Amino acid sequence: MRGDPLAAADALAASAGDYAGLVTRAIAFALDSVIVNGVALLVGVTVGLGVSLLHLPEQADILVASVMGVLWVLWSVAYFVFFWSSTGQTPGSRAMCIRVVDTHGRGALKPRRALLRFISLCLGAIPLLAGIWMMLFDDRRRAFQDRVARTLVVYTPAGA
Amino acid sequence: MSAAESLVHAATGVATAPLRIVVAASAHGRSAELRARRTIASAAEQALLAALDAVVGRLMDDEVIDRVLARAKAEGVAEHVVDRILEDGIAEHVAERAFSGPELERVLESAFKSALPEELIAQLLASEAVWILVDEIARSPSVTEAIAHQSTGFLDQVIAKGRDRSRRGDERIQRIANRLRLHQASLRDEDELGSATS
Repeated sequence: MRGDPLAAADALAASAGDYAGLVTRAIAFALDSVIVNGVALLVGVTVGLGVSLLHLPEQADILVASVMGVLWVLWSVAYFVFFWSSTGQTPGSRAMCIRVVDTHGRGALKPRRALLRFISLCLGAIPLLAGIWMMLFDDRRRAFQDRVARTLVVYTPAGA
Repeated sequence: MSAAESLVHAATGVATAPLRIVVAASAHGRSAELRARRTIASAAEQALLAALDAVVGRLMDDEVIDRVLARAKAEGVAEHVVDRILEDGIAEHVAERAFSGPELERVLESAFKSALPEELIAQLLASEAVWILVDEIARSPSVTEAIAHQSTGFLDQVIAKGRDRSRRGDERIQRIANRLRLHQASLRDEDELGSATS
């Protein structure tokens, strides 16, 4: 590692070859965000139009907005937990050919572990995405949520 | 004219009278001969044409045609003719001539301009068998696969391209991070070395 810094860096990158990197994971997450928020937006607009027709009092509007906010959070959590614990691939991950697997069994996660991973993802993103940048300095490209939930994100062959 | 000259003229007329009669008779005989020859020739021609008609009519009789065709079939005439046409390149020549010439083009043009195509299409569309055939083709696995492949092909190509680029981006960012790590490690080592020597 002390000889040629560039060669050493390449060797490190090659060792991490099976594990999905920052760019791919970010794109996959962006695709998932588009799906989650797109659906939420569609539902929100529909409900908002319906509520506007009913001429509800202001308190009821606030209540509806709060309920919709809670539903949005639940929908987001359910989306990621469901896909991580069923196939290990969200639609965004599927498009980018990456998969979340258990560190030991290399299979899909259990729902509790998937939920833990989602919470860790949110917590790791709070301090200027420090939990996400962490993957750049890990041999297996593990981010904060991967360390907490003991998971890995690996590349998969196209169509697998 | 004198009396002597008149006498000589009369005597000459009397003397040549038989000759004139003979000449006139000869001319009449010649014309009669010509008429007779014409009449005979015409009759012979008529008789010959009648005989030809009879012969051709007899040849065109079904029985004769059947016999000729049976004989030709038994002798393998048709095969022989076809063999010769193919061996001598006549078929190629005919086909080449037909395709290169303007006749076929004209025939096709007039066929397309006529009401024939519309009638043909209308009859085809009215035919139940055609729709059964279309259904069979549309349901065939190769066709459905081709349609699905066509519709998803472009999206797949875009995604695959994006995937390749993202993986190259992964490697680049990872390389930068690794250099940073190694740089920091070397700085740390130098600090430790410096503190140890001091």
